Amino acid sequence: MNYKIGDQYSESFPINKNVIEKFSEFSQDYNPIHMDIDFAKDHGYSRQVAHGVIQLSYLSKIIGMDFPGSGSMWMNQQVNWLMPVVEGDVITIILTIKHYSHSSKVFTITTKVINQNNEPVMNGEAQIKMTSNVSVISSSLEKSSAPSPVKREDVAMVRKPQQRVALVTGASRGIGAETAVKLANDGYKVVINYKNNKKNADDVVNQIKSQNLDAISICADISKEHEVQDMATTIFAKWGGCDVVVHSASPAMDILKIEDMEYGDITPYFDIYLKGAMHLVKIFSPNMKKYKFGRFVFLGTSSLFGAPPNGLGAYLIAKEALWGYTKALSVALAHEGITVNMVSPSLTVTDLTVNIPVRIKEIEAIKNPARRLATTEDTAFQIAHLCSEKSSYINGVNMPITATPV
Amino acid sequence: MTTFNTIKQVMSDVFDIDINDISEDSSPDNIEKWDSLFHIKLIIALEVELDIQLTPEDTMDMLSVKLIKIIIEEKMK
Amino acid sequence: MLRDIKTPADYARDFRKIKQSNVDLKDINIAYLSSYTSEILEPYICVELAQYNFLAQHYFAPFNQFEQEVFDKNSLLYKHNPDIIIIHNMLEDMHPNLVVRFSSYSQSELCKIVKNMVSRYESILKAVRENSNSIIICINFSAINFQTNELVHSLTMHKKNNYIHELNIKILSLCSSISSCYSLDYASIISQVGLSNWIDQKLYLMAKIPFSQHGQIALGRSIARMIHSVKNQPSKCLVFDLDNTIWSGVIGEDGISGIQISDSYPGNSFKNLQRTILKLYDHGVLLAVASKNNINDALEVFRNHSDCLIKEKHLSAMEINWNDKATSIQKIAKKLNIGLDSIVFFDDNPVERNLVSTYLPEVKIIAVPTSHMFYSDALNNSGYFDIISITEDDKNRTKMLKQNLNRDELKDNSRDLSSFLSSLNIKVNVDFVTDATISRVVQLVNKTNQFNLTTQRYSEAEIKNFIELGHIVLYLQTSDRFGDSGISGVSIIKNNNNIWLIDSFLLSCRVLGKKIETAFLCEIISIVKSKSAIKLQGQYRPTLKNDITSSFYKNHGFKMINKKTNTWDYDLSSVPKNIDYIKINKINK
Repeated sequence: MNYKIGDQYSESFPINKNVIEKFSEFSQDYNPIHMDIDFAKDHGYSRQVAHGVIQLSYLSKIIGMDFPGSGSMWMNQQVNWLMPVVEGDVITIILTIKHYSHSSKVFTITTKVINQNNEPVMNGEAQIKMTSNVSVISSSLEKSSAPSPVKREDVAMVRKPQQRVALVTGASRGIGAETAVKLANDGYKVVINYKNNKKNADDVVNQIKSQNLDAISICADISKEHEVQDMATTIFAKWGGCDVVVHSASPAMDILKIEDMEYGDITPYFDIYLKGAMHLVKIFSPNMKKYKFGRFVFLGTSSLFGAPPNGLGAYLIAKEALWGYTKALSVALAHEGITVNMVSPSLTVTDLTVNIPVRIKEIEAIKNPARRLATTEDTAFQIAHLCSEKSSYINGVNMPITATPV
Repeated sequence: MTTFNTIKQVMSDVFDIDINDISEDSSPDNIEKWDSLFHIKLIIALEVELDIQLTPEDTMDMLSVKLIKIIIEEKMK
Repeated sequence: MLRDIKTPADYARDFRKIKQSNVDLKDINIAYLSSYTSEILEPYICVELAQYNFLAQHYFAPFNQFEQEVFDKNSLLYKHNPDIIIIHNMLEDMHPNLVVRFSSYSQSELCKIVKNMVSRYESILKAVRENSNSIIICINFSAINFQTNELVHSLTMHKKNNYIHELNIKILSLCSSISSCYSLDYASIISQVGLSNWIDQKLYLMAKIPFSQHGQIALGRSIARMIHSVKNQPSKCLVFDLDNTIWSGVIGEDGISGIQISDSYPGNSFKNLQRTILKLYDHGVLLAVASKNNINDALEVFRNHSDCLIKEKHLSAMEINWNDKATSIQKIAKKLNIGLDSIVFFDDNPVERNLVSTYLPEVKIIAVPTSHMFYSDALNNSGYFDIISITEDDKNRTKMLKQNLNRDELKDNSRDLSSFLSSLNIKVNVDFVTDATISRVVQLVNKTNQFNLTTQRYSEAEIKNFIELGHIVLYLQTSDRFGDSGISGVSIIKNNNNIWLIDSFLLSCRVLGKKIETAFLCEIISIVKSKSAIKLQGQYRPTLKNDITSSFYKNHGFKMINKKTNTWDYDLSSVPKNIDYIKINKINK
């Protein structure tokens, strides 16, 4: 059999009720999420959810029978399920030859599953040892069938998307938590950083894990450089690097009249917002530079635009400083493949704003053209967007999440 | 009668609309009649009916029925 | 904190109801030109006018549009075709400096202001009159608003008050020179409520509304009342009761020394009412009395009670007898030759008021309050006698009427009275008392004092015993086209060897004056005859209260056979004359 690096095979399979029921019978997994449409709907799915492994079963068929087919020995499979497949979907499994090791006779094949709407449902990679002889050429240029050594450095210089890691500070609650979940759903392994609330942080980790995605929690006070360093060591040991840093940690917000404000009142905000950001950049940007890919997103506030509300002077000063840092950093790091941006939501209902009187929140809501306050999803979605590969030309912006021109 | 029901009843009478057409989401957006004159009539009627004093700032913040409820509940504490 | 009886929300609710209701109200178009946000008054004027049976439709001109609206024949003002145009330009809005910094103005400046003001009003009022026949109500200027809480040199305050007063006199004179143009005194309306309750800075500054909700109510009420008095003739005659109305107590029971009219409590309330009634007399209102009393008792008070201010000479008619009040008022109306809708009735007894309002719905009834302290206020506030002007003729009306009456011969109006009684469709039911009816009968027997010939009191057991012993116990029930009066009469006729004696014969006051007693008696005679009676007799036992029955038997053809016991005898061979307008449900037994 002759193969070429980049060769592809795809096949589609309808996932209907019959398939799911047969699989349940075979596997004995009768979880109602697979069997009962009402149960599934009650849990937020449109229809019964198909067992993820059904995809792997079909993959098994492809590998064993079609591509590479006869002589294949399925050694290793990495699977990342990105979104559920529900009854009625039609999946298409796409295999792409990524690499062949002549010495070990092992194919590395990317396995991707999409649904009928072209949405990626599963990402993965298979390693398949061939028991019979195959001929694989790397490209149209490469004529030799001799195994060409793959440079160790080349492999090491690319962090594949599915290996990417995102760190979110202050991710035990609010916008941070929502962002962590969204990034996990986008394929990142996520680090939930928290300072005090371990339980909440673990809840976020569990929420992510329950979607078959990867996350860990790490306690660290990011205003302290050595704690950031320790956190980085842990992350690197586990996952080899960190590609995205979202900084949404915040001290508790106090309403303080500007006339009553002392310089010392600004310190807690400076420490977390600015100093913390500087620690994160110092410790995580070197690795990003190495792989020529990085994303920093800092949380700002809509108070940075126009007239700010009363009582948040210290908070505002520190956020302005952070915005200054964002701009400066963005021009310095852009050529290294790293973007630095800020998102500035208007008043969002989270634990941070719990002390703000209901009346003020409601007035803000009604004055807004959309007649509502921002939700954590509104901001998390934009942060995740800025973190994506395609956003490499968005740099040094302060994106308002305000539903109104600023 | 609860405070909210009193507010709705007064609004229904002053605006001459069906009480069932009034909810927390009602605001000048969805009640056509609600202009500055009706706003003042409503304020006057609510002050007397609930025996409260509203400041000009209060009346300016009453941008929706939900806000009227919040502000009046504050006053009645 | 001033508390009005009705809140703004109440007015809003009533305003809604009026707009939705199907009741027949007279349409009236009102236009309001002012220097403030007058729209706020709409529900108050409308609800108050509805009381007078008007349905008001308003046009509120944008503020400070006086000349623009009145000079242009095609303006929205005239398009609305108003019956009434109200004009109110507040001094505070025209000359804010004058109001606050009065002392800084020189005499010549002050004069100039007045001159300009009057000439401006003159051109406005003349323009209105040229372009329409609407009644014009001009609200004048208030000196009260000039008062602030500061202590001011009294001479300055006096000057200010005078200045405004002079201005108002000129405006009044101007109004009088234009037909159907009246001036409404703003300061009086403010005093009703009190200055501190009138002013609401928040409303004035934020919304250009120069009065609080108390002021809105008071102004709405005053405007409505003024419109009513302009559109309507004041009522011509006040008919009032005597006992517990113009004196405390019942003359028939308490005697002239027992009733109270005096300068100390409680007699002073009643004396005040008498003064108020006489004020109406001064304004040309005819006075009449409708009272259930012996006429001599009443006359004694008029003639001999030193504190009784009301005298016979003030009264154009007196119906002091035992007729029901509806009949009395009918007679008064006939005598004075006025319509029932021109009569206002003042009686402390709600039963009487209810009776009159039932039988004579056109008569205006004053809702007399429970406490006599408020009688004068009730009379004043009724609005029925509001007049815009008093003429010499008004003052002499009563005198002139009396002269007329003396000239004419008194007509025999019994014909007209009996046609009224016929129209009532009176039905009478006479039947034997049974367990179903006995408790009401016992009640009447023990309660009735006036129309009760013998005032015999019996218990239920005793009456049941009479029935068992074979005596006749009858009840009378009556109704007419206005309603059912229920069981209102009882008679017990005892048999002694076929000599039947009317032991009890009584009727509730409510049903007097319609000759129902005659119908009852006829039925009794008929029943007794059917029992093969030899004799039928009746007795009269005089008491302090049953004088009205003293001639009952005589008037119905009985003959006195024993003067001492006051026993009367009926010739069973004769046939009693029945009342043709009463339908009796005859029983066959």
